[in-house]
Amino acid sequence: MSLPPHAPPADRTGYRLGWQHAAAGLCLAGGLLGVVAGLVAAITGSRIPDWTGNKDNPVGLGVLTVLLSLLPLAIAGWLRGRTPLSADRRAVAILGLVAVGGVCFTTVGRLWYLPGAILLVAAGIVLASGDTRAVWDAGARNWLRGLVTAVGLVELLMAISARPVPVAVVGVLGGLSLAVLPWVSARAGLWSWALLLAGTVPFAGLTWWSVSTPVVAVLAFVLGVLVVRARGERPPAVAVDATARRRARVLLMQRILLNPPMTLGVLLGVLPGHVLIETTGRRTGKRRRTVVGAYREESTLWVVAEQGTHAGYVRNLLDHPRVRVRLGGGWVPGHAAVLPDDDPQTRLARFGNDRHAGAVRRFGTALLTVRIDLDQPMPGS
Amino acid sequence: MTGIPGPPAGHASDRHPLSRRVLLRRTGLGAATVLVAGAGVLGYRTFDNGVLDPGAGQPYEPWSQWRGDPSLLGAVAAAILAANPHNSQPWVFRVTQSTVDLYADPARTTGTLDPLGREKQVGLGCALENLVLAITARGHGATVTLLPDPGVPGHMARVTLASPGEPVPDASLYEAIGDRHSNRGPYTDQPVGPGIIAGLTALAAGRPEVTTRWFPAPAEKAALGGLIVAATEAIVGDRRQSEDAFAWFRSSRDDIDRYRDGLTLDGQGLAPLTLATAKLLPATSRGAGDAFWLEQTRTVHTATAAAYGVITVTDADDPVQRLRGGRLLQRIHLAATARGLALQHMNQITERIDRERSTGAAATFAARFDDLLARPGWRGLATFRIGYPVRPARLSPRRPVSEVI
Repeated sequence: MSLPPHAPPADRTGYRLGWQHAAAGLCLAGGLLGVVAGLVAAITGSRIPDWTGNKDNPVGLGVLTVLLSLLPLAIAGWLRGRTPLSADRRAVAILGLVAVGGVCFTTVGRLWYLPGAILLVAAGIVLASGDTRAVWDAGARNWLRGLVTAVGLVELLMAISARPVPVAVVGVLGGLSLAVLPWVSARAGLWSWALLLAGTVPFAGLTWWSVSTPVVAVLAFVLGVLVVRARGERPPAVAVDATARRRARVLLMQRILLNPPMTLGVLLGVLPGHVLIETTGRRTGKRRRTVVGAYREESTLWVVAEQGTHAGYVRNLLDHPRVRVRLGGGWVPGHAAVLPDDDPQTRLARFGNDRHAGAVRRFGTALLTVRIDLDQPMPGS
Repeated sequence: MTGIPGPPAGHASDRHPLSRRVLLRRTGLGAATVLVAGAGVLGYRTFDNGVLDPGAGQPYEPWSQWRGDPSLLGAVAAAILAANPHNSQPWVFRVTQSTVDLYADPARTTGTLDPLGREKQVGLGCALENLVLAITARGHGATVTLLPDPGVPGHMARVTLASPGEPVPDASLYEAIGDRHSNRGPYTDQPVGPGIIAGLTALAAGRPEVTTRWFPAPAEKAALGGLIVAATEAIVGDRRQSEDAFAWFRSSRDDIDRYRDGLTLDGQGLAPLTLATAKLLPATSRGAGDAFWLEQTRTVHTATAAAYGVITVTDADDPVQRLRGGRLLQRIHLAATARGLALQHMNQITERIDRERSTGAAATFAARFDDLLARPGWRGLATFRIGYPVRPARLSPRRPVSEVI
């Protein structure tokens, strides 16, 4: 088996990254075949009952199969990364593959034989790709989160049988909210409470008379509260730290509100004092572009990172120092380095841009100087 | 007292804080896992028994697809929505360019509940009424011949297309076909006015051998209600009749999807919460079902009836009169539906009368029923209660036209 160019970190020796990538391929194949199986069952299920398990509701079960098949596709995305998955993620991946792979044998009959078998094999490969014991430990650690996801899937099952259709849609969205709730990052903050409420209140409220949906909603709410609160208490307690919470808010706001128009402004050349820098994703290996305030001295570009190593692009360039910078309508390659001993306040003052400096000081939580040496001197610098 | 200070003699849990925490955590997670597994069972039951989709799916589609087809097959689609005993749908149709023949399906009977075939033929009369209404609504005239072929006992009627007849006198009857259901739920205390009862009585005009005897007055109503409850007790106490009734009860969605006939939980007129609970719980036994039915008959059906009606004929054994009585019964049900009234068929008394006759047992109900009717020379054919509903009735499953032609 050939290993990719990036060697695994020392603490994960013995990890078989090639196996992980093979599992990714199987997940992709199984997930896509599952989507096809679900569509076939939904569209022609009543005409080929022997193939779809003689179901009375092939449309609903077909749609459910399509939705569930999206999970292996998402897992395939994780597995394709260039670094070994953590034991937590491997446990989740195995659980997801086994759950979807197993459950759908009951939804679309024979059509699931092939995708189901592929997904179960993929789960086995993920388990075998590294330390098995660590996966069991991770499973035990994440048991509660798994339970909340399981309740979300139960809600999903009830929802697809509900009528009228708008009620079913509310239920499906609620079930999906619950299912993803435990796995969204701590940065979700208030959003995780919103997900919890969306997963429990609307569907149960619309179908309160059914007994089952309110009962499931109460259970989901109690377990969901435990999960949301537990996430804040887990070491390292990122979310309970006031600075970290502020940073999370700022990063979220920047990502959603500020970065898209600022990127456009830089590309159009109407945002002086800012550049786009292109780093290499430390986990994905993909190109990542970030707009930053910068000050140029000849062939050196200075950046003061507001959030220090908490910013994704700074961590990227620590792993991959080769970067590109958008300057004068073209991409200029360069070598980036962080200078922890440099005084970022002094550096910021030398930018001569009071507005930028003010914003960085106002929103920054861990200022850090970054120096980028461009490969070619810039004309007119 | 002096001595070397040792470790504090703390509580046992202080010495093993971790193990207690781990134990508590594992116990909690175990309990949560059991609860989630229970939620899974509940969710699957909700999904499997159609708790959240009342009246949806293929067994209920005939209720929304009975108008579209302008042909005679479309008229049959209206006929199969008629009232009939225990939703056994005991009919078969033969359709040609200009005729529709109605046959009794010999395989579909309610056994000892209807040993003399009375209810079955009344039900076929109901289907015939819908068929004629649907044909005339399609712009044709309809000539009805009852028992057209004496050599074929199951051949109940032939409807022949004629030149366009007169416009349907009351199109509201046809329009009500898709909304007519047996409503077994509670009725409000609003009385059914004499004007409405007179209008329903007039539906029998032109058929002197078929009339309706009404019981709107409290004393008469209570007496008939008491006899209905007594007949229900007798049916529940008669093992064969109880089994034959239970055979037509479809307690699971799987059975409804498979058979598309029979009585269902949805059809019992229960409050939403009670209905959902009943669907989530395991199917009831025959005994529990009988006890529930008797209780409902006593506390809901007879207790909230605004009035009773009894279709009376001069000869309840005559198939022709049964068919005509069935046609009148269906017209009354349709007209009641068009006026916002609910109706439930309650044939326990005649089921006991026929049962006693067929077994040679002492007649305990026939004379009492005749006394209540107080119409010498007339016999009760079919009984129903009427009133304004607390909640709308739900759909009953129906076999599609393709299964009955």
